[in-house]
Amino acid sequence: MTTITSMDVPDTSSLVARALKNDQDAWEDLVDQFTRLVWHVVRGFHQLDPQSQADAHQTTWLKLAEQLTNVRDPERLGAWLATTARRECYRLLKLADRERPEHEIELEPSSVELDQHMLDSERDAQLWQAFGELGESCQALLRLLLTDPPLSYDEVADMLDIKRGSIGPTRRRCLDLLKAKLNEASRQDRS
Amino acid sequence: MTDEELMDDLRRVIQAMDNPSLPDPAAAKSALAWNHIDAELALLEYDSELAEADSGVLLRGAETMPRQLTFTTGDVTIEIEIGPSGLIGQILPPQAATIELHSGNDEPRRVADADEFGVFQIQEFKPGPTAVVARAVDGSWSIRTAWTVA
Repeated sequence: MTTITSMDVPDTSSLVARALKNDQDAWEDLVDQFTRLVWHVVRGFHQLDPQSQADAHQTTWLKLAEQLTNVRDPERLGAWLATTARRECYRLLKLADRERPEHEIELEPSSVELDQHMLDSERDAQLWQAFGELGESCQALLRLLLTDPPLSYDEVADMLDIKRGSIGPTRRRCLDLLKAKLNEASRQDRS
Repeated sequence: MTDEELMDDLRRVIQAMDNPSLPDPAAAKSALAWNHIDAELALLEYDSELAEADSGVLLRGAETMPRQLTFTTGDVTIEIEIGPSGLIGQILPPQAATIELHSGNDEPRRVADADEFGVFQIQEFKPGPTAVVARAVDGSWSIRTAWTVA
């Protein structure tokens, strides 16, 4: 019988604190935890060639290492990385534009599109970070409830070795935890 | 936000993040080591690319101008121009220094010396993530520029 707890995976704050002391393992954990997120943002810039996308990804991590002492709010690290990656991509788009002959210069995305891209990537970043901070049991349950095609509650109960009747209440509790983490992140965002 | 809306967002984000074609993490994992350099960080103060972007004006003919970057620690400034003939730098106040180039991939290497007027040139220069480390010949300071994609 698996119990659902809110026990956190190694939290971002302690990983950042250890990385600041040059703990390579902690740094690699941070990379593992957030690479998908950075890559998701970078891949959103379809106009960049693969080399530029790889450069933007790597530069985002180099900048984090460089700025690590200035990370004031590790709980928002995901949003920081998303913003940094997006800025690098935007800068590389500008560079690519000037290297092309003038007649090929593409119209820049409108500021509305850029803003929307920024909002989406930062909201996604916060959601992904909050999800990653849930206990493993919550993550496992929510993932199983979101499979495509969907699994039945009986199948989910079997796979997690929990009672079918506990899925509904547990799902609600996990989502409440997730919402609390999201609210906390956006409150810190505003302050 | 309802639970169902949250679940929909979560499904979309999980699907996007679970994309298996991730970049090789080795470069990102080595990033911490690249920053163990005993040199003060010089922050980017000016980038001709971003100046254009911010002004919202596309300067015709700007694409043939060298890209100009200014990094500073407050005490020491490095101005860099990146053009077809490589990278040209100016240290201010002018003084002699050794210059290392960091790419994030290869071992950093000493590539040039700044003369007594603080001028240096790097001809063999690969595009990509770049940081320049300058060390005063008299040993009074070492600085490194913030990372930028050149």
